[in-house]
Amino acid sequence: MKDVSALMDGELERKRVRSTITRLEDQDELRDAWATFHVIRDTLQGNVIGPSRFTEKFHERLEQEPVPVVPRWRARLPRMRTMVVAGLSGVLVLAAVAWLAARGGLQAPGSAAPASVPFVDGGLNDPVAIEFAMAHRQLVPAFVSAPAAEPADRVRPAGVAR
Amino acid sequence: MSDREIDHQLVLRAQRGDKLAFELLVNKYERKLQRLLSRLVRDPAEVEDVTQEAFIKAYRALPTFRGESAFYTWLYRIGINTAKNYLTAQGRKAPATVDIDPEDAEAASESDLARDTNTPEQEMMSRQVAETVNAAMDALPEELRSAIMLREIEGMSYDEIAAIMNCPIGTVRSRIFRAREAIAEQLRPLLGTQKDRRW
Repeated sequence: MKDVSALMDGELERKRVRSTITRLEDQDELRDAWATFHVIRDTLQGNVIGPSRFTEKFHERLEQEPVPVVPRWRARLPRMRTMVVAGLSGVLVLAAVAWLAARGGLQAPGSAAPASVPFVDGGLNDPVAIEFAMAHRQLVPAFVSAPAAEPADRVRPAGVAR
Repeated sequence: MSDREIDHQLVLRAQRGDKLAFELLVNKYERKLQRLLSRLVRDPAEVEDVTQEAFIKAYRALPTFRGESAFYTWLYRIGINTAKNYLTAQGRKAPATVDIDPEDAEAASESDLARDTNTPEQEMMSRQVAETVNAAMDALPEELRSAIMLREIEGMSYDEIAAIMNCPIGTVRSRIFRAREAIAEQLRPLLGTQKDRRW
């Protein structure tokens, strides 16, 4: 019954909600607690409505109602929506990673740059900026790769001193 | 899991054909809905009929409920439309306050409703229930009374109550439950059990 009390407050642990609802449906005593606790709540909040056998009459009417048919796909819609959003997010992240990798902008920290990497990478064209970036390459490894040895075919931008 | 999510869980079960799950929602909202509809339909017997009708309409419309709004907001809209249609069919006009927001309806003055919705017999029973709840509240130990008041009247979460009462959240959960049980014990003779329940 303690779980019923927490459930009606929206304070029951997520993992126990399903089993508590199932027990609520199975046990008269728990359903009685659920109904009585709500009468107490409503009374304390001023929603006092006199007795009228409402629940009993409603139960009789509901018994005669056919079960409404919900298409299976509609019942699963919220879950499907979550899955689609999660899937799209994953694809976007992968695409971003692949794009960065293709641009050579992704490099594990501390890893050496491949020898064939061009001197300037990541769109830096201003010689002053290149020099600055080279001087601070430990801070901006994603934009500047400094090869251990200068390859012969390197294209050195004009104006950059050795 | 929030209150709204729990309602949604019950709705999902009801959508799969579980009528008991829908009855749990009815237990939860019947008095709030009656209170709301009593602002439109004044006669107590009519309020009850219209409320029953609204719940049945909601049940039939369950396949269209997709959880985009809270269940009670959806239910209250159905209730207001049912009441408007009922009044129109009777050749009567809905009061000017017909476009009631669910939140406004909950904030409606207590005296408005207690008087308007009850027949003399119901009025007497309501008073008895209210007196029993109040007496049971007065008899509670201070820490139980504070915990349930902060929850039911102030609408605080267990976290907030734990901070105010300076105790672990598990203690709050336990105090609120014990308070409810103590009050329920006094109420049961008046309300009857699930089988012969009068509410």
